[in-house]
Amino acid sequence: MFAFAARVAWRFLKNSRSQTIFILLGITVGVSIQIFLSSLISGLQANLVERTVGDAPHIIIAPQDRTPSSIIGLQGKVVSSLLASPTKEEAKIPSWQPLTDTIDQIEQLRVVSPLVEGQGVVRKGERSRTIVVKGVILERADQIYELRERVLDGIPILGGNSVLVGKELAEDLQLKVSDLLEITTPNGKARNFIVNGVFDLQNQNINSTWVFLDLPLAQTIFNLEGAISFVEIQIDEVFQSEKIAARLKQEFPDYTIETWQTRNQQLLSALRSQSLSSYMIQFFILLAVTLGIASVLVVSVSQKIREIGILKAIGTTNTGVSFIFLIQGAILGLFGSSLGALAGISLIRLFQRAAAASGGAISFTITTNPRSLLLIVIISTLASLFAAISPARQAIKLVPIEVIRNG
Amino acid sequence: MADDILLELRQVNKVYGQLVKYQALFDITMKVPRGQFLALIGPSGSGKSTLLNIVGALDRPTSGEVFIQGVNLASLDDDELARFRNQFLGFIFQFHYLLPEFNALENVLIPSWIATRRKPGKEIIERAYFLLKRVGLEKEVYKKISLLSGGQQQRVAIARALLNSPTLILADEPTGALDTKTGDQVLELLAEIRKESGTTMIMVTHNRDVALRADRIIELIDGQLCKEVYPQRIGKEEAEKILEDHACNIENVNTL
Repeated sequence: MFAFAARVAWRFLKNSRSQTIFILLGITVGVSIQIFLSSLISGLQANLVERTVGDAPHIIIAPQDRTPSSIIGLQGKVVSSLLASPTKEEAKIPSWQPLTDTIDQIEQLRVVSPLVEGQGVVRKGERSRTIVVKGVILERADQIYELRERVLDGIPILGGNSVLVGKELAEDLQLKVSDLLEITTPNGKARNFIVNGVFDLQNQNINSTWVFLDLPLAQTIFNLEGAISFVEIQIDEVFQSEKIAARLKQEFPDYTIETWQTRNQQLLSALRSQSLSSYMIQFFILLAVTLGIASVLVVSVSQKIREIGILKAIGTTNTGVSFIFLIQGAILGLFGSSLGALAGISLIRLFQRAAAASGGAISFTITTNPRSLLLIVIISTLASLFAAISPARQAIKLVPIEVIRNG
Repeated sequence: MADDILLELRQVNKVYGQLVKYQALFDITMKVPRGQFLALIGPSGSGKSTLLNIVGALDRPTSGEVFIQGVNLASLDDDELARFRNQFLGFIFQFHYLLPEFNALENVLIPSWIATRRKPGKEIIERAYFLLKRVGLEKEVYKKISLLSGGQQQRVAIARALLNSPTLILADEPTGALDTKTGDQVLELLAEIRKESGTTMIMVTHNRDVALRADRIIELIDGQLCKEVYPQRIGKEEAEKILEDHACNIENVNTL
């Protein structure tokens, strides 16, 4: 029955060619816009997220009662204001090595970087600035901040009493590579350091306040005796952070686990409403396409009333005639959405070319996501099948005798 | 003798309408033996097409029973009825009702597609060829339906009705839409093929000349059986006389 119904369905579509072509075009346009729109939105969002947290830790393990400053909100709050509250002596992670051993066993974590953080005042000649001292293991921190790539002058190496300073701070204090500078810590000790390099982390606050130095050295100047301030973590899937954070919380109930989302609520709600409006548009496109298919098929039932009548008279079952229309819906949906997928990919190519030609004016790229592509094709096909239900029911209801009697 | 009865109607009534009721058939009881060519005649609205549709399992009687080959049609649901029609009955209607999307051969093959649910085998295709050849459409096998004349289309419909070797052929004014000459040719053909295969046929017709070729004529008036004639037994003239007479020749329709 199915093969026969498929055959009749195919012929019906083939014979009413202009009708078929128009509705196929309708589906193609709808689906291609859906694909383009969803790719555009996800490209845009990926870009926004990357720019926000690409070179920042995604999860921070912090001692309770201490606010990590590494997570900078979109608005770029001044770091020093975050540090305004006095650092509590007890607010530290006493022994981080066993901690990282446990953490290293969690697979989704890309980078785990211990950090010693503290305030300081840097002096060069007459000038002085408040800074944030960041004691890191360069190999690890580099994977988060891409420090080595972003060193403009000098060599990105930490060790001994060498430090890396930000671009703005260097300009401010007229620091050059191999200059000496003095850093005074809150406990009043002053020490001299050598500038090994100047970095640009593309954030003015960071560039004018952060100073990187080697982790053991930082522990020494802050009298931490092997303790650290935070563990900074980057993960592969940024949106998995809450899930991973929950797991970390289980492992380390005594610490505060903070994710990038906590400090980027506004970005997140912007992303959410953007996604929502994109889904809304996609839904209504789908609805319009579905209604289009349904109306074409409903009309075709009344056009083919004689054929259906005779098919029933000579033995086609109700299932058989309903299949004829369901299959038509499925064929239209599958062909239309496949064409739409191709058209959508072409649109995206066109956009990529335009972006490349714009010379940076369009700063983000969009890529086709095979999964969402497939999903849209499947959903559209199902919607077409759904659109065929009403015509199929009409065909079932059709009484052959009435068609035959009325000629 | 029961084996020879192909079709039996027992007190079949048909009432149309819900609020305004209209009775099209009254207590029809009759038997048709295997191999008979029965012509149903009667004025418009006499119920002859209604009767044919009930016999053809296209319509269900309001009350009464229909047996074909001993099968009570009332015991079958709609899909089973559809399969029954496909397997045992061949239909030829006034309008040919071919599918314009398919060519002549494909139209003839449709009953087999419906029955077997897959592509027809070589044997069936050969039979379809044979039937098209038999109805004189050797050259039109692959032509689209819309390119065929009315007479040719009706011939395709005849070939289609014969494909599954039906036990009973039902024809409702098969020549009603054709001109006289073409109609005669089609009827001639139908009669010949029927004779060759010995298939039982019930034909509704307005045309008395057509009816006189049948083994048996039954005339309906106002939904009741009125006259019964066997023209081949009593001769054409005698038969015509009875048909022209106003009085019914069946006293008790129920005993027929």
